[in-house]
Amino acid sequence: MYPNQNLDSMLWKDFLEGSESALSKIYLNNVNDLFAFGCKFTVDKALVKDCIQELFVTLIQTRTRLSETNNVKGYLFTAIKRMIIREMVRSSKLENILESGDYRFEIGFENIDPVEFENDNYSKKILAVRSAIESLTSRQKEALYLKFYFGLSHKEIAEILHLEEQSSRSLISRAIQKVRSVLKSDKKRISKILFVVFARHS
Amino acid sequence: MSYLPGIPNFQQKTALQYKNFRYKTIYIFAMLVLWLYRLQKMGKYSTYTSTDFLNEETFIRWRLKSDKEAVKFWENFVKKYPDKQEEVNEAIEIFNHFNFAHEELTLDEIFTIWNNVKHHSEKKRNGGFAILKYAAIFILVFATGALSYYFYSSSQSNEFTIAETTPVNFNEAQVILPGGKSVPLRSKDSEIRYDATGEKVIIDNDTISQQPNQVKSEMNRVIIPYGKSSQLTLSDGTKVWLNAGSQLMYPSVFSSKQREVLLIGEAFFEVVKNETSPFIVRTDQADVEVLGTRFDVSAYPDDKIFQTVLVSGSVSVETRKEGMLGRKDKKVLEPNQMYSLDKQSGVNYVHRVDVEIYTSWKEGMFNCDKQDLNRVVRKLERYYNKKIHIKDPMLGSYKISGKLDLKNDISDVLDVIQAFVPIDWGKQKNGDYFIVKPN
Repeated sequence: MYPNQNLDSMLWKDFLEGSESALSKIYLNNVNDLFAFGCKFTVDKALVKDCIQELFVTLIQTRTRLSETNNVKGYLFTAIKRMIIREMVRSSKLENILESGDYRFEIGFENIDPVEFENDNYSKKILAVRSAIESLTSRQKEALYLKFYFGLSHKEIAEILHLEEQSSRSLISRAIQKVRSVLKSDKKRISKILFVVFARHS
Repeated sequence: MSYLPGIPNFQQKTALQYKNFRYKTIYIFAMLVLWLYRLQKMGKYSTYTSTDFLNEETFIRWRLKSDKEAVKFWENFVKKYPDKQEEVNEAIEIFNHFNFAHEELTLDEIFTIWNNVKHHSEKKRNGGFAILKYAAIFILVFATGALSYYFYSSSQSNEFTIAETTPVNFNEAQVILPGGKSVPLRSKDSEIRYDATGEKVIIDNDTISQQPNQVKSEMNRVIIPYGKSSQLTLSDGTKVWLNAGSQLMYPSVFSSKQREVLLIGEAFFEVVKNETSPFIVRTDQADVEVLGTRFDVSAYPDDKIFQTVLVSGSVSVETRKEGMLGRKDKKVLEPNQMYSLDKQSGVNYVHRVDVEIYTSWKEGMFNCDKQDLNRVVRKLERYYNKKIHIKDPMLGSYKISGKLDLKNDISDVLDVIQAFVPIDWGKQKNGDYFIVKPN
């Protein structure tokens, strides 16, 4: 459940029955999230905007072939990701990276408050955690982003990642464990090695 | 061992001691049941680690503050089970490290993409739905999810709608009336006035009548490019001065419950008092709500800061940082105070200012008090619709105080600035101006 989920589902139903103003509301509810999500795959913002445009044009044109869904955001996310990656593949001649997860996902952080940054221990810790997050696989980063930023469920994330629900669940758990181990090592330096080993094997 | 409240002290009479013992037993039994119940309820959470908490969907919704039920549940949980505190705290700490950067579209971009969608989908259908083009109503105003949500939840009938028009030329001063008719504004300082019914619009002495049935639901839109300004009188008598490079969207007649307008850019408002119908200025960063008062709102998309300055009365400002992150913030201003919001960090503050400095633009004057040359130059660019390049970034931080008369030519104004700070200025071949260090 994300905020507006029920509203989106109702609007989606109206859209399937032919209401384009319902689609314009769905667009407004989701366009900024789609843009934010899309920008994690590429630095080419124009490409992301083009894909959003193409996505909604396609929705209008194929309306009669679409079916009902109670997860509009998930549906749109899956579609926009597929479109962006398809465009990137087209220009770089890579293949099948959608299924293999062999694409780039740049998580991107907010800038650290310069006042807090002055605190050496604090900033060291943040940077350590951030580098741990950066070192996760693209799929892990994508899953955590969908989970922690948009609050999507395991099932919804699994669909976007082309995975079984159980696999996406363990993917996320492993990623969290890894970040946790960095935090723990900061607290208890003695057991540092132990946790790294633990993180590797879990 | 404590007693149940409301049970008298029986210890003086031995006959009652037996009864007392029974109460004790009942009490212990009750506590046991309660404990078992709690344990069962806590059940799966009793062995939870921070990772497990983070995997829990409602836990994330609590941190995102996107679900009232979840917030209530977990706040209660933390209070009830202090022994889980450490794991919960750790989960929160991990969560907080995921401080994602977030790309956002501007209102204009959101509008443009949707216009393109409409255009492309219609072209490919060979105009079969041509009627829809006029019937299709686009809610431009609610640029963000949180914003549109607000409207659906408050009242279905209160939708802000604007007739879609052929792509708008933002470089031409114009009024777009409900139904899509565009009326150009030719003078440099145009005047637009709506009568109380919203059916008559007077634009620089020309009167335009609107169809009463169009008046109600759809929005008017005024576009003022750089180098021009405009004064409007809305149907309720409220006066609005629109600064250069701004847009205002508003209905011909306001609904009885509230009066709402959307602003991109800067405007000064003189709102007619109406206790039963608050006046709300919506921008992409924050909403400013008033009953009746005089104030200035500056919300240029390319500025780093959103500002509102109160001259008299009272206003409240509510930020619009998506409800998802729960960063909404509400401040109430007193006269002579300014609210500033740093768009990137979301940090806002209120302080006392000389309101004259921020509102004199409507009289064609530009006051500044220790303002960066950078910011002053941005304002001049907008006002004169000319590019001014500051060649040396160090120059941009010169502080400028004083009064500039914008009725003068741009070169006169630059001369005045030159008299105060050590700069040289000149004009390039392409018509742009530049500012350099003096030799």
